[in-house]
Amino acid sequence: MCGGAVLLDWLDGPIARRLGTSPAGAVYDLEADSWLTLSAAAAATVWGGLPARCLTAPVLRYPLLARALRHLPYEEVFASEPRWARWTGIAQMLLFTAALAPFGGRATRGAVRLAAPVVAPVQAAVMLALHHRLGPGRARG
Amino acid sequence: MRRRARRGPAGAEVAGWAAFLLYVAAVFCLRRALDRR
Repeated sequence: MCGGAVLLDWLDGPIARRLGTSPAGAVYDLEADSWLTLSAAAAATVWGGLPARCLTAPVLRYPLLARALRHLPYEEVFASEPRWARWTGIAQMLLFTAALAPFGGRATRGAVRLAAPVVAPVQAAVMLALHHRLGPGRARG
Repeated sequence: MRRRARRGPAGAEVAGWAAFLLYVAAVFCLRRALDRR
């Protein structure tokens, strides 16, 4: 199911560009991606043995978004996101995938154990840094 | 025989990751193809 969701996540953009985009579609795309990340994090924590702190970044996203929306329109919240932020998100999704991999053996579990204490706080720090860039000062300016 | 049994899970793990990487590569190619047309 996770693999299917990732497939649709990757293909929804090109399909939308071919068929025509809309502001609502852009919102649904981002929110569905975030819901996928949160669901994968919850599944990886419950079934994949990841520590609960790996839920921090996917959960933190929602209060930070709510706070940013108090002074910025939705489309501007994500407009200036740097490219490197995408890579930490991919690393996080890879961690969840590895934790849930049905073929995961000793090597996979070892890699997950080593990566989790790095990837989870880095992603949370990236989210806080991105939110800081959108501070009310910048919105007023 | 015993050695074979010990190698089995590691082989399945490598095959699983190889299949996963192939899947990711296939989706990536499909995405690029959709964007090019």
